[in-house]
Amino acid sequence: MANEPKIVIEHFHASFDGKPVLRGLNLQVFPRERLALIGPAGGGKSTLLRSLNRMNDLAADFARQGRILVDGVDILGPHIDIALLRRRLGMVTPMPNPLPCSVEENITLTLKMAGIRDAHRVVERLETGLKNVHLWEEVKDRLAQPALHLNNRQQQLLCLARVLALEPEVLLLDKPCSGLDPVAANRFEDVLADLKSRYTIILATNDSKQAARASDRTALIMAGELVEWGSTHDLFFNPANAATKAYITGRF
Amino acid sequence: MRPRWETALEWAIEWIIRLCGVSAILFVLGIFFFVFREGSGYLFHGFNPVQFFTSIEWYPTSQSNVRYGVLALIAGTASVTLLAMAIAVPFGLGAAIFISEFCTGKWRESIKVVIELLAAIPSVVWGFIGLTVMNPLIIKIFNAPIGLNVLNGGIILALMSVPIIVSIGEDALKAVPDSYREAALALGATRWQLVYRVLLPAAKNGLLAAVLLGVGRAVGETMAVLMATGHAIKIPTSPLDSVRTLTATIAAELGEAPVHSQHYQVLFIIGILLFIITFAVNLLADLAVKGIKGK
Repeated sequence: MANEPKIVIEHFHASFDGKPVLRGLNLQVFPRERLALIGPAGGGKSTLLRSLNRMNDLAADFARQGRILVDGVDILGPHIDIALLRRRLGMVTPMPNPLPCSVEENITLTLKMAGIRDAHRVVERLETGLKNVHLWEEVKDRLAQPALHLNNRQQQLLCLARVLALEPEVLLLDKPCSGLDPVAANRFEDVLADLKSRYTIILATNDSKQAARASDRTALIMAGELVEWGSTHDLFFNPANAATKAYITGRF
Repeated sequence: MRPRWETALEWAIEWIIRLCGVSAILFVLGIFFFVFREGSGYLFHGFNPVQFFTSIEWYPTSQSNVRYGVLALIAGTASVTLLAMAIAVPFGLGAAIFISEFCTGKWRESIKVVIELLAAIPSVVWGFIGLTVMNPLIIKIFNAPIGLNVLNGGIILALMSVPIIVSIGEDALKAVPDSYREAALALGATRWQLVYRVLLPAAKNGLLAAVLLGVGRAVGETMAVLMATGHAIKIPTSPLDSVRTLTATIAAELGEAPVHSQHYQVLFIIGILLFIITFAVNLLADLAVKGIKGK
């Protein structure tokens, strides 16, 4: 990867209530690559993702140190427009969290809050957003129904469509399939495959096989430290670190 | 095998608790029955509902020309309540939003304690404040002939309703799942957008219930309005007019009306009317809260 990294994480420390979760992490994410974060639960994958869009800042006991650069700008600085940052780095959470309004409003409200009011553009982005996640055919006749009436897979896809409608630069996918059955998870992965090379994607997952299928590079994070980081193929077939080998073969 | 006395004790406790629950219903029914019985004699013999609801003439003790028209009293209650709500709803909901969404830690706790304190002030103290503080203030500021009027009563009632609106409104906002907050913020909502676009629509039923219970409080309040509104039976044309409310009329006249006289019975008919109004308001509030769960 010869080009400039999209995201640079430098000596990043994070803690909740004084308990360290990330310990001096260094990591780079390149434009339009798919990076998978794997590692045992509680190792700091979600904390890292939620530091990137500063959702951790909402927790009163959260503390951090270090730098996170996006396009060369430190997003942890005081003069960052956090609302804009969160639209540029769109997040999908482990459990689907549609807003308590209709399918359509979940997307149009999102656009409205981003200041996109032009009716033509809103309708266009609604449709392309839902088409991008293979949901349009299923829900085009149910747009006015409450989003909470959709099934789990549809809800999670809607949450992804809602993020895509904002035309983000980076997708932060925080174990997006953990609430889905295997068939639904597969269909979610199909959607991710389509999004390949259109967005910078960071996918945190507890499913090593999913990381192997759906990423270009993989980073293994354990106990808040980066254990190994490299192309997904090398990491899975030729791990340099004994701990990596143990984790991916399930013997950790 | 458990000892017999333990089974018996459990049975007894269960029945005592059941009785406590049922007693609430019995008391309400009992009160309604009593109020209805006291007013029923006149209600079914000689009561003129058209005059009752459409006349502003309230001459219950006149020797030659007895009139029982409560239109002016209804207007008095309505005007004071309306003004109170015009003040209390924005302040109460604003405070609820502030406490629930913008306030943290010590600040939140201290504001809540102060508002609860506001709710604990006896209504006669409010009336006293209306009489001794607000009265001269209104005369001075508005150059009014008298400071005991709709404005005075409305402000006092607003202060009394705010604690109810705040605490129930805050509960309604707190009942909105945090996942909605997370979702909206992660999508780039500002704090105000979160409140306006997501939380208020999600909590609207609970907030409506909060407002309605505030209305119920204002309609039913007696002592403070009796002292603060000036006790003049007329349909107000401005906030500086004195009025008299339904509740104040009962409180002021019941002691002087001979038991079981026509006047006495009409006062109980007003009681029935108040009962129906507050019942309707509470029922609406209840339905509004149920609306949340229906969704």
